[in-house]
Amino acid sequence: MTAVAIYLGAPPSRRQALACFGERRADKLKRGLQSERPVSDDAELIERIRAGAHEEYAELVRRHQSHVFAILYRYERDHHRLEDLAQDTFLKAWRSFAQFDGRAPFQHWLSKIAVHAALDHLRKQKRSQNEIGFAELGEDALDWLHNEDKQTDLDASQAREILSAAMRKLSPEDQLVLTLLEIEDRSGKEISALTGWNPVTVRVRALRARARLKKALEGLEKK
Amino acid sequence: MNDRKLNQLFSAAGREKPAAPADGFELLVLQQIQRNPARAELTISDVLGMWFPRLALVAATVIALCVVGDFVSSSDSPSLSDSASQLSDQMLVEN
Repeated sequence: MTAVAIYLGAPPSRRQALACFGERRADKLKRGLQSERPVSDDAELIERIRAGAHEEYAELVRRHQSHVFAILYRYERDHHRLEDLAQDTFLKAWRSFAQFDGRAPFQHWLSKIAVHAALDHLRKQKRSQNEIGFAELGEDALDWLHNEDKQTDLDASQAREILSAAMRKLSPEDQLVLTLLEIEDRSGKEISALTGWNPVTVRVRALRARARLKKALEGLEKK
Repeated sequence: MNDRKLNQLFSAAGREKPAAPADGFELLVLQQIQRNPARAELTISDVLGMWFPRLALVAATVIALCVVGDFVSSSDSPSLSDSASQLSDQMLVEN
């Protein structure tokens, strides 16, 4: 990805990015971001983008970038790759911008694109790695895993480490459904809307995925 | 691995704070767009998809109006089969 090339050194400053973007457009953008007339509503902003004010897309990205990162960071721990994934999501949203009909909020539409980008990412990862990364687990995570009666709270990053290692045994679809249902605590209806799978498929897949994850974790415990 | 332990694992993972986007991320996205400017134009199926509920409603209304119109007009004038039988009677008489 191009962002990887950009990030060979330190992340580009705002000024560098503006310089790359082109002086005239950058000036226009700066004016837009500092906003002589702030647009509070997404719908109005979208109308302006459709009318040709493409620079305004930066404002739309700025508004929703945290939300997209919050969805995607569950599937990618490396910050640079996460940023590539988020860029990819916004690029896909731009390319299919014409298909956004405004019936649902823009954020819902963008969430669907982010979830599908995450699924594609998991599929690519699955092709390159299949083994449980037992060696990657820290000592505390291993200790918690091996101790049946452990009552202490598990640290979030340790839990993530264990889950990432065990989830590599699962299919991308299983990983996605478990993340959405069990970690993000979303309802079956929400998952169905985000993925496009029917609610029965979501329920069945979640049940099976949970059983497979349990098995994978038991495999880790025995090691 | 029992269910309690698995649920503990899920809820702990759910507490992880999301990574924040770097400053100027939106500008990187715009650079990407500039390098890959292709934006999907609206296809006929996109337009139909966007208009689907409204188009379906209009089509149903038009069909209903046609059916009602036909019903009303047919109550005043003789039906097609009546007219056909009348014509055939006339032809028989003439022959």
